[in-house]
Amino acid sequence: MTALLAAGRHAAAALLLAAAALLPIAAAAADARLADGTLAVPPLARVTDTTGTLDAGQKQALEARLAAFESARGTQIAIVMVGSTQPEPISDFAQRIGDAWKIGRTEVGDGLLIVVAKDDRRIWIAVAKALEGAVPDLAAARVIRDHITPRFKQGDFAGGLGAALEAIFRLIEGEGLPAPAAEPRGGGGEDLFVLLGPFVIMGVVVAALLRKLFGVKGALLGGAGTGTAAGWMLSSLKLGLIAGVAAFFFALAAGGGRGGRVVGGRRGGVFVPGGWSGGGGRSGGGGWSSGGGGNFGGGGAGGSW
Amino acid sequence: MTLLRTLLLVLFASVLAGCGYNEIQSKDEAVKGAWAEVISQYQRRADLIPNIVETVKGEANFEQETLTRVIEARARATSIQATPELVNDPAALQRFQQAQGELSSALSRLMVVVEKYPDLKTNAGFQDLRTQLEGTENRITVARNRFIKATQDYNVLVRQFPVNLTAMVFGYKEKAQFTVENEAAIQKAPTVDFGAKK
Repeated sequence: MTALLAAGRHAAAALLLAAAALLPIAAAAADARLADGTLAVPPLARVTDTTGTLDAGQKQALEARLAAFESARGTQIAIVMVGSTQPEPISDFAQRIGDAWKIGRTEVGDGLLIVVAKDDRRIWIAVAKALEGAVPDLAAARVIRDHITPRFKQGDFAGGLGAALEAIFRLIEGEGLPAPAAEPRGGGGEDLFVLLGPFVIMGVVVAALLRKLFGVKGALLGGAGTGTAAGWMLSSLKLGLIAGVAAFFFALAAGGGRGGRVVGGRRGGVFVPGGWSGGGGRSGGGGWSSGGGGNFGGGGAGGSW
Repeated sequence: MTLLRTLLLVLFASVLAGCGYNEIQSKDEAVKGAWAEVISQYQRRADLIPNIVETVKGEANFEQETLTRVIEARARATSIQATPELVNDPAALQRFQQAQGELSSALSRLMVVVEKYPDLKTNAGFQDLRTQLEGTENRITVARNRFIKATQDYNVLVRQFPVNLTAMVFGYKEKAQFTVENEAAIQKAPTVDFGAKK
């Protein structure tokens, strides 16, 4: 009896497999593989989909939600959707991605990975150690069971992932993780000093010289130059601005033998901080960088649909 | 005189640094850290087993033999003191690994046998325990791999010239490594005969 049942189940599984093999015609070919047949770790991205399941709009919507959550909470989350991870178990593949990407803030290490192997009909949520308190294995399993598999069964992949994100966000919000730093790069005072010190010192020397030659305009020019250099090299508008303004004022103070001439309205020349060129290394375009702090120790849970 | 002594000290310190003494320290510490993680994950599994056993016992006429084997394997595994010093004793590490491996295979056999009991399979409490066990096994794998890597790094360092001289002088020996030979036997999936129920 049991043998018969088992045989029946096998036949059903075979049918399903055949159907699954027929459906995605060329999709699975996109996955790059290593010499031993396992999948290569894809390049870092918030949402990776090599199966072509998510359309551009859905992908962007997921990316936008992940980006919004990162700027609000600091936690880095990524979604990877591939065809099949065979011969490797999906948990091992997820582990390799976690080890390679190390997503999660440097100091906090709060990263989370959602990996979907569409053709294997398997999903794995890998949780970095810092988040194991907020998203324990059981919670991850429940997210899969309650939010993902019911929708995946109906072929609603974007919906399942969206609902999973919603649930995971709520779990993480409940955990008292440190708030994200206002400025991702070098938020702390000392960091700022260390970062900008060399620029400001160089800038002051040059700007003081220019001030000797051209007066306040020279200092302004020196400040602008410092701002541009700092902004460009540190790829941050704000840092460039700070460096530029600092160099300008120091130069004024240093060269200020004649004193009297107050800066006053002059400061209106806010084109000083030329840092424009640097812009957007972090915030803007498609480039997303990992905080590098995520330590994935095997936590998380899996499921299939 | 004191100047000479200071100079000698500085020279000695720089020679030591050049000979990888500091590197030995940091890698030695890395191995210890990785080993501590391995132990704590094995401990986590051992702590989980009583709950699993209790839940499974609730199922009437569950295969006693499978259950007993898990209980015995756990007792054997936890009877070995998993001290940090274990990494310096290949034979002891071997015994530890052997016992944990037997527990692994007894557990995976249990999980396969459970498939025959639909009530148990759908029991929410058991499902949760199963998830936790899976997570723990996964963590053990990761911790073991990191330990193997850390030990490898350390062993390569203390065997290479000129660090091997420094290591010899200060008594830093190669550390015991998890072996792969019996691994193959341990990790072989248990075969279950579905025909012979009870």
